[in-house]
Amino acid sequence: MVKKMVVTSTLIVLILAGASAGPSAVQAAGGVKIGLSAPLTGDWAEYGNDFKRSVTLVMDKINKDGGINGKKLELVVADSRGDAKESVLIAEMFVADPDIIAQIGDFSSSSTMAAAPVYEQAKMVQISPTASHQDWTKKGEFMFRVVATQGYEGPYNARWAVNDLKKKKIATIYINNDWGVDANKYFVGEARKLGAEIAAEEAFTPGEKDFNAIISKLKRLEPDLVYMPTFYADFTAIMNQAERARFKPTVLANSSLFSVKTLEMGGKAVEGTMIPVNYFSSDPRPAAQNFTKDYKALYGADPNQFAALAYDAAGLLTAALKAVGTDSRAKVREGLLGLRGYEGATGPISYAEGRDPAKQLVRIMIKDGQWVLYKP
Amino acid sequence: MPSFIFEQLINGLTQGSVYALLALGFTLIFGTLRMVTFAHGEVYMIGAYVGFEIIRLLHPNFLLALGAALAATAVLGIVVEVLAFHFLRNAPHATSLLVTIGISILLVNLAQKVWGPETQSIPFGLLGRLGDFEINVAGVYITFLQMAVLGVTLLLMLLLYFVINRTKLGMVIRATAQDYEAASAMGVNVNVIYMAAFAIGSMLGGVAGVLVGVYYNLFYPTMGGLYGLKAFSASVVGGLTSLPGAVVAGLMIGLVETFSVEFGASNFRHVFSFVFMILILLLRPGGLFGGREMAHTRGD
Repeated sequence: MVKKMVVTSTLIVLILAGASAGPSAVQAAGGVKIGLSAPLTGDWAEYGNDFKRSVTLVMDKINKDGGINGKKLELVVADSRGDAKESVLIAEMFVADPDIIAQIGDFSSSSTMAAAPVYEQAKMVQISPTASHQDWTKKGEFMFRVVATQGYEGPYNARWAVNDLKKKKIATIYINNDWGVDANKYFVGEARKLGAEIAAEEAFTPGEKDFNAIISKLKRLEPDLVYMPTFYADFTAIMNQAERARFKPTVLANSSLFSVKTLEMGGKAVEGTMIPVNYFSSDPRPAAQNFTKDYKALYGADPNQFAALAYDAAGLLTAALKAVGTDSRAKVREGLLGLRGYEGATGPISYAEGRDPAKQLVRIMIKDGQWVLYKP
Repeated sequence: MPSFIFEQLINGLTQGSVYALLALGFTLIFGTLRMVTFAHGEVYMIGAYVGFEIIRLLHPNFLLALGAALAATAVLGIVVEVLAFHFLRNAPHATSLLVTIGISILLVNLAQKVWGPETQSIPFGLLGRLGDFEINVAGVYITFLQMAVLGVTLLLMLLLYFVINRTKLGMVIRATAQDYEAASAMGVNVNVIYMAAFAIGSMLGGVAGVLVGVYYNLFYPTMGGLYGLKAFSASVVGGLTSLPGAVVAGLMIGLVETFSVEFGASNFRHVFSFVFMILILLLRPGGLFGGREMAHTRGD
């Protein structure tokens, strides 16, 4: 009995001590934490790890230069596994930690949108390098994106296909999630407006690996061009199965494919694939060149556009923190909105007109097993 | 017959064969033990990875990969039987069921640890050496891998049918399925038979894993999930204890899926296949071949 009381009272003391320590933790710790929610395992693991590498690069550099207003930055990484449910749990964890001032992530629109209400309620900035679903930034006041949206990339691709490549009969294959449905919709809408015929729109469920039925159907329809809003694992599976079925269409796809994995897993089946990107390592702009150099020096490999977008997300966030300080989550939002003339690795970025930046895209293609600048 | 119909027929049969192979495993195990295993999809996944490693590291030979996967999944099947069923013979059924779910989660995580979470493929150079020929039937190219999937599946179905109906082992398995107490009283070592059924069922899963893995050239830890579910459904539609039922249902589901893409919309393919299964079960609640073959007549 006595033992039990001792245990209970010790617990109560501990809880009380914890409660009083809570609110002052930001000052007491002497550092500032930034949360990163990204898929570090699963089908999108490659992208999540790109995020982690770039964000780490930015933070290490700032810490080496003395931190923000004398405070060191600390990164808290959480693995969302590409699962929307998981990203909500991560959001709740981040919001509950008073030391975390803002969050970078997630990778997919589905995960990012699912977590948005939690960040909005806590007045914590949610800056996603890649989430491109139109509705996400409309879910609240604290959502900022770095990538061009599908509302921008989709019609851009449609103009590329119909006006520049002169393709009139188009089919699409898209992944059936928030992102894929959007990417398909904006492309198809603009392509129709420009006078193209849409021969088929085929969706597949995430996790599906058999595309033979879709391929046989498209082969019969003989489209001039196939547009494929997909990711590398699915895209390369489609192209390999298409090659086996003797189907070799002209393919236009999305910036989502820009990875060395697409080349490794696609082999010669993906030759000729065209995509627009936010970042390309031979981009001559100084901000892009600096990023490429620093990333290569630290990791010994060329960065991709996901790494570049994450680098800009971290860069924007830390620039905002420098401007408004680190004592309030809500102020970070004003800091981001107030940034002017920010030169990122993916081009100039400003949130003066809204929290969706307009971006300049670079056209690239796969030639001889490499990503190269697109030439008509 | 227009060539696109023929092409889709081959697509559907290839897809359906895999469901059938996996469904056979479910059916054999359920027919013998009267228990469902939810680790079957993961046994299939392990089989695929074993084949993958053999091809990648040892020698790019299809039969060698199949053999290694057979051996590995037979052992794995026995392990699952011992862990989930042998020691829990007198426990409520739900306990064994939960243990198999536990094993399936364990295997997925183990695969993530060993092979990494991302999708892997056999390098193109090695893949080509597995067999790079194809035949042209009326303008439709049927590849070596498609023929291998169809051929191996057909062969294994016939072999299993022979084993179950024409050999002493098959007779003992059928006897155990009918009444394990009576079989036991007649001198059958029931525990060994359960392990044998599990080993054979798992081997079918392992072979399916290698076939699918190599056919799509995609290996990933969660590859057993959707296939396991589809195959289990095929087994139920086939009547749960009927081996021909499992095969027919598996093939039908593959064909329904494929043709729902050709004539309908691809995003509804799973809807079509599951609606088809529900319809069959509404019309024939016992499944297509329910109540025959390995039918169980235990009087409890």
